[in-house]
Amino acid sequence: MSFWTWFWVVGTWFLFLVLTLVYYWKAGEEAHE
Amino acid sequence: MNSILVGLIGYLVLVLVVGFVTYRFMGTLDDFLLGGRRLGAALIAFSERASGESAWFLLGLPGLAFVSGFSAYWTVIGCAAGIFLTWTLIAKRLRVATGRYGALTIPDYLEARFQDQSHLLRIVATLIILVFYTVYLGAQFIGAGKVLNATFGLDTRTGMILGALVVMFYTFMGGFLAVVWTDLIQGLLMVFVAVVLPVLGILEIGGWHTVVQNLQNLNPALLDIGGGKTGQALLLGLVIGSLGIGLGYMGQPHLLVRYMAIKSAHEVRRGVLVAMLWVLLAYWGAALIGIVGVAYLGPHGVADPEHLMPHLARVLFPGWFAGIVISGAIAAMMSTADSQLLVVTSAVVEDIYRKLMNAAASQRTLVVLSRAVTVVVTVLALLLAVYAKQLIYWLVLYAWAGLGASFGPAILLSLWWKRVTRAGVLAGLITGTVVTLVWYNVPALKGLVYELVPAFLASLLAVWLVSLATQAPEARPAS
Repeated sequence: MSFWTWFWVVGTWFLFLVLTLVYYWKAGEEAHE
Repeated sequence: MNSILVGLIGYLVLVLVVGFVTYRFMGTLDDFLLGGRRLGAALIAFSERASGESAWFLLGLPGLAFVSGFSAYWTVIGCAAGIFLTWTLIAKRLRVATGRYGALTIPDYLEARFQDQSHLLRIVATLIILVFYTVYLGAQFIGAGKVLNATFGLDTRTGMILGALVVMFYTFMGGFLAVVWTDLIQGLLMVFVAVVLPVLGILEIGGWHTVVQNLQNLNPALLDIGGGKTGQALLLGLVIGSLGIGLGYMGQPHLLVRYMAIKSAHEVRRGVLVAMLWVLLAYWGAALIGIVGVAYLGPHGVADPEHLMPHLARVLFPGWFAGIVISGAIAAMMSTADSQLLVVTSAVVEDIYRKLMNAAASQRTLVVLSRAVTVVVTVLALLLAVYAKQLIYWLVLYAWAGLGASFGPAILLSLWWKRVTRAGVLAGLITGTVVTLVWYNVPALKGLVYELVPAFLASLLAVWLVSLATQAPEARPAS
């Protein structure tokens, strides 16, 4: 498997995970303010 | 009895029980269409995910990966991006705005947001919903017939009627509440199938290394994220076209109403978390079913790539368990069909009857009428599925892109831009639909890129330009 296949398949998986957790955390902070 | 059928019957009994249990909670139209807006975001997230993915998710997507290998992940990435953007850009603001307006449907929201006393926005939006969703529903029933025929050997027409009757029964009994609770069961089953099937497949083959080795021996292009394509075919046809599928989520009323039913706007972040965890497990897993399938069975292992998932389940699992796994495809179909049925019901009862004909109708009358409409719409969609299959095939080709491109930009801008006008939204609704139809029917354009991408952009442009060219609305921000 090439680097680019790993990059897009696994990289985007982690990207969405991080984006989701950041949104969840930021929205939680806003709710408490 | 065929042991595979035991799993299916167990699943069907479970969803029918939900129908019985939720029957007594339907006191008002708000209860029937939105569950009284008392539902938690995690439950709604499961409902949105199960409703958002039809049988395509467990049959079509694995089939695509079976044929094209890892390049199918562009579709996965596009859908994940679309789901993430819809939840984060639309869910919270739509919940706040519709709660303030007391809107039960998307046409309700549009009319209230733009103070449209002419009802023109309501009428155009309702017409688009009625045409696309009745056809969509018919397509789900056709899907049920095909799946039950391919997997359980039932006669196609019997399968269609069985699928339609089960969906009609629990929606009739418990409205939105029954639909959401059955969606939870269906959503759990879908994610279970999408995770367990590829993992056990990899173990059966002998590990990930063997999967990759088999693909390398069969066709190295299966391992290439570009699918062996280069230039324009890679960039526009594969990457942009596949990513563009995700734009459709923003304009599907049967998904948007779910955000409107969350009990508070503060809960939405929990919905984002649950929905995206579902996506990260189920979407990446569903495509992996196809990858594992081709590595395990070879490119000619199944006659029809869309039958891969049931075939793999039969090969890997004992009969009754395979029955439960295969029911995942029926669950994916039903969880979409029930939500679409409820959207058509809401269009008839709320958007046409209550808002245009009889504003003084009692809640009891509206609930009784909703139940009656649920039956009539099911029968109509079933008749279309049986007797007008070609019409359904023709119209359903436009449904995802047509709805996404017409409602998506209008809803998005109406929530984020105060300057949007009624004329701008009308222009967007019409442009999205027309560009979808035209682009699809011009072969040179169709071959270039998936029609949703240009139609969505054209619709966005139409809302923006026409809004700027028309008189600014009185200040009434969405949130």
